[in-house]
Amino acid sequence: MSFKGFSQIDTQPVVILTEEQARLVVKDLIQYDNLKLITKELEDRIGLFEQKEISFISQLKTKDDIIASQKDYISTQEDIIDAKKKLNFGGYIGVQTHQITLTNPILFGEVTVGLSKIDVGARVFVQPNNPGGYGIVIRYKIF
Amino acid sequence: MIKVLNFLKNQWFGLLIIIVLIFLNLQSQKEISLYEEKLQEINEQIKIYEEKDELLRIKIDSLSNVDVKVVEKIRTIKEKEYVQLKVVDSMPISELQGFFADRYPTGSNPN
Repeated sequence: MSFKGFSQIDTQPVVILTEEQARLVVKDLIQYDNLKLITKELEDRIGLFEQKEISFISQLKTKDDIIASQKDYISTQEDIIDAKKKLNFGGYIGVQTHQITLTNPILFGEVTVGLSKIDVGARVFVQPNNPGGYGIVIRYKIF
Repeated sequence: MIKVLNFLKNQWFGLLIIIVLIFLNLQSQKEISLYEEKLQEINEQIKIYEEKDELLRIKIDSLSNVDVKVVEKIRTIKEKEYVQLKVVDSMPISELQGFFADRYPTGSNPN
């Protein structure tokens, strides 16, 4: 019976660097390590920018909503102003004729109180050749 | 009583006018109260939007503050790097060897 065997010496290739080269490699490695850290921070920063962008868009939309609501508010206030049919007092003097002529004019004075489209008042009229008089005036605004 | 009824009978037209005016006035009051309710609702809606806007403003401010901190961190990293690079220039050979030995221990596989 015989035994056969062999041995092998581990001869991994070796790279030899000069001192200057080694310093440059160390510097590169330090820069590499720091760049990895900076990249992580920059990724965080990009995330922040994205969140800020989303927030800005939401804020813009909210401000648009505020403006739209304020427009509604103004419009409703205008409606209220229109709806507030205050009493309007008016006094008029004028001349009226019976026909399309300037003879026998009727002079009149009028006092009215108006609510919305309706005016109610009294009119006093004077005519040089006829007796004067007074009467009630009711007027509705068509246009 | 009869006098009053006679008066109303004689003055029916005036009475009618007064009733119409009162009716118009009541109608406008009713309309106004509806509009006022609407105004209140709009006001509440605006308040909600303003609160939301304020919250967003606070969020954006806090994000800006975090951003300032991140920028500060990056600046610190760069400053440290500058110092580390300066140290390498004056590092003795033994420390250079130590650097590599620490970084790549024997038997370690970077892949």
